[in-house]
Amino acid sequence: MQTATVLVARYDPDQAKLVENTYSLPLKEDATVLQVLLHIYENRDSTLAFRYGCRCAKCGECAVEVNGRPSLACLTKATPGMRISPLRNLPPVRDLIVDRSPLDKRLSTQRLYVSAAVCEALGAMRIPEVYRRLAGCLECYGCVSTCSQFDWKNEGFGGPYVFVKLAQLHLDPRDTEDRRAQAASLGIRRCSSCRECRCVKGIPIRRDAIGILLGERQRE
Amino acid sequence: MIKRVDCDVLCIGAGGAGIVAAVTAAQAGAQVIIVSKGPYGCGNTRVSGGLVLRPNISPKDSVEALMRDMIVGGEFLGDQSLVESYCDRAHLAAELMEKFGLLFSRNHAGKPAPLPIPIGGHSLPRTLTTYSEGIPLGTALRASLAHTSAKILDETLTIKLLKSGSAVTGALCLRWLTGEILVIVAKQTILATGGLGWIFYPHTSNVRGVSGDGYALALDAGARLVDMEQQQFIPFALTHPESMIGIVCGEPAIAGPYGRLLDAHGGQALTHIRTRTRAEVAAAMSLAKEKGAAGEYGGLLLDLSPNLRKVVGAKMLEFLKQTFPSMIDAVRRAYGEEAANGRVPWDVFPTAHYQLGGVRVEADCRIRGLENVFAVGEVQGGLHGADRISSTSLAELFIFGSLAGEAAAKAAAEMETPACDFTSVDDGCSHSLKLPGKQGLLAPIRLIRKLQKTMWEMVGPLRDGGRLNAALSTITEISGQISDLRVSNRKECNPDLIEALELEKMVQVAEVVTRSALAREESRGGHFRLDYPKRDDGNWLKNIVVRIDEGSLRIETEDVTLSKFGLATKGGPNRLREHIQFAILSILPRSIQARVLDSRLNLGQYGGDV
Ligand SMILES: Cc1cc2nc3c(=O)[nH]c(=O)nc-3n(C[C@H](O)[C@H](O)[C@H](O)COP(=O)(O)OP(=O)(O)OC[C@H]3O[C@@H](n4cnc5c(N)ncnc54)[C@H](O)[C@@H]3O)c2cc1C
Ligand code: SF4
Ligand code: SF4
Ligand code: FES
Repeated sequence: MQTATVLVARYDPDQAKLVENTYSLPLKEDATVLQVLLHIYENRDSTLAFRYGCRCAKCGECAVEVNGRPSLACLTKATPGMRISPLRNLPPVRDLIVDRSPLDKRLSTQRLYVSAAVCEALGAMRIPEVYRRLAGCLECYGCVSTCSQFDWKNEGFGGPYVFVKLAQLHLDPRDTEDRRAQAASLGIRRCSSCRECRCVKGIPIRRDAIGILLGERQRE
Repeated sequence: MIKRVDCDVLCIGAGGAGIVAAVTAAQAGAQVIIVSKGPYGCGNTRVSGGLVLRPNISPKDSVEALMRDMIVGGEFLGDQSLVESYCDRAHLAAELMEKFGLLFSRNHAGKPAPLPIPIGGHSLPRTLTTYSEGIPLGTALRASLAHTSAKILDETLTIKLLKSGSAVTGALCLRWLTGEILVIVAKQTILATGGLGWIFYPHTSNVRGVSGDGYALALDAGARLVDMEQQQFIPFALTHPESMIGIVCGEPAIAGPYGRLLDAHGGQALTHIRTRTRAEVAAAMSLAKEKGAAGEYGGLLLDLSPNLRKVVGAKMLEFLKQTFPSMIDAVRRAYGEEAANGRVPWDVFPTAHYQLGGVRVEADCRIRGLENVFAVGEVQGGLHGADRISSTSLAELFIFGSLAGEAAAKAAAEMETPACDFTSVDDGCSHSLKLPGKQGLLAPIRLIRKLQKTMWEMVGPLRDGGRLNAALSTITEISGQISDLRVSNRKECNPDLIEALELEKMVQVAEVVTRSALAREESRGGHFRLDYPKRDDGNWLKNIVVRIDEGSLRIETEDVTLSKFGLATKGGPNRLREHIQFAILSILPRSIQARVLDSRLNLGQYGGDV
């Protein structure tokens, strides 16, 4: 066990800015970022606000930035000197908490649910392999942190999360809407020359979601 | 500064049960509000294994056969009228899930692919799987909510149920992100707050918010809780590193036909693991630990490698990787690639998984003794008796969530908005409302950690009178310390405040669990006592029922009514038949075995890249 310093950039709503706090604490070899946050919360400062749920990369609640990259706190190894900060591109609320609602709302405004006149349940269908990979999306909103084009106030551009959902629907044999056209109207052309998207659990968003919606790849 | 909003139907909790109820009620025309402590769609439902009951896959199956398995599996404690209500509607679950947008794994012919063998206490194959466990179920639930007019208020914690006489009239809530206090007045209320695994942290598979609030809310409103000592510990969970303690890595079936469970001396702690119940395996492991046969990390070794020598074992691992990617990833992170491939044994110990007891309801999910209120999902009690057979819970969320949602919408259409007296709201919870800024010495999290440690060590998978009494005295001590809490005073996102509110409920629920466990002087299902190691049908075919009487807990017993199935009923796995099936398979040529298994386990469809 070594003693290490970590930085936590906490959003302060009164000053409307990030305030960096430095904590020096014992760091075990295999400690995760979540354990570091819990250590601070339990031993130093019980006002530190952050989200977590499952501790095993399934609930999608613990997404933060670590050294500027969106990461699941429970999945990411803690390192001395690391900087933990809230996800970018969503309204910060306090400390590491960002407001999830602007993206939640797009589920209804962009109809991100299976649209089908009659949804035949348990029928025979062939499900593309890519669908299976996208099904692992935790809806943690980490990826929007990496997109310079995304702005939560501007519904005119989809951004990585919305494109992942649209690709899932495009690949869902039951969905009847033209999701490629929808993606086009949500500005997916801007992604043609961009490769910045990053998923916290390694879903290849650019290839499997955006590529499919742009028609760069077929359904397979 | 209390704000008031009105609705027809209020759903408390936005895991599977709450969202299904909300969507159903909204589709039936009700004005719905759904609140949840965490982000909606994120509870245990999303982190689940995604195993879903689908009856009638085998022509031998019937409503009766499923009932028999559930009642025998539940060791006869279950409420048979509730079980019947469940089994009558069981065929709806998988279909409803796909209507909500989920897709179950398909086979080579494109049809939903059930597991080829019965698992986890079933006598027949009845389980569908998904792509990516419970994750796409969470996605589907969120999406289906977006398709309705239901108003979502997530990160909103219910502090108290409001009442007028014996009717529930809504709830008092705290919006965590803003600090705002909200009174929601509702014609009908549906309680769907999930279980309580968090009171055993870190020895639990459950998510952070699942700390038993609903049981305390219901008790306070005058409901009864039944068989709260019945806690399902799932046998296989990780023991290290520290960040992963208690994360689930499989149920007994994962041992496969040839897997072994070894203690620190190399002896087998138990044989025929695959077909045993979770309760049996968890008890055997706890006993081995008690006798000093656990390893360095307090666990036993689950050795899957003997399976690998057989075609079936190798195929089984391939199947596990495909079907439970997150679970196998967790094993890989904890124990390495060789372990994830089954070549190196896994260090495992049971973890708190599912609260089998809960709020006492009628067969239509209305809370007994109260009006205008339902309980659905894990918070409900009586369905699973003393043990829950596999895949039945996620189905339950749809079976009963839809039942309650529909009934609530119908009842709401026929009544007026109840009157709500703001002063009484204030009186009933002025204490909670005064918590912010409280100047004590103790951070709530400290007391929570102390409670969790006690619950695991004294009221965990291995219990006896001494431990349970010791737990009670610690619980009393913690309860006394609550008056000395220190809670910060800020408005937005105040973790201290959430935790202080949770702590009060956790302490009460911990007391209920512990006192129920003390009362039941036998071992049955999820409740294993060293000082009463045998099941005792002569004296203990009884439900333990808890209520609040003049401010304190009252524990009573009631005889179980075996209305349909008596003690002689047969159900559950047929060990001999399964043994013969594996024996037949193993005498076929290896290439034929491989082909049979590929087709039955739905492997190799997409090439190696999964
Ligand atoms: C790791 C794991 C694997 C599992 N695998 C399976 C499986 O494969 N098959 C199966 O059938 N079952 C499985 N189960 C069991 C099943 O997942 C759960 O029993 C089920 O999901 C519970 O659903 P629920 O809707 O009742 O509660 P949850 O999904 O836990 O949701 C509870 C909701 O209530 C909210 N809440 C809690 N307290 C309050 C409050 N005071 N105010 C407002 N809201 C509140 C929470 O925020 C959350 O939204 C598994 C469970 C776990 C933990
Ligand atoms: S490809 Fe670039 S522009 Fe497009 S969503 Fe990803 S990060 Fe944003
Ligand atoms: S694509 Fe990845 S980063 Fe984006 S929401 Fe899904 S899981 Fe999170
Ligand atoms: S805590 Fe659930 S994903 Fe990290």
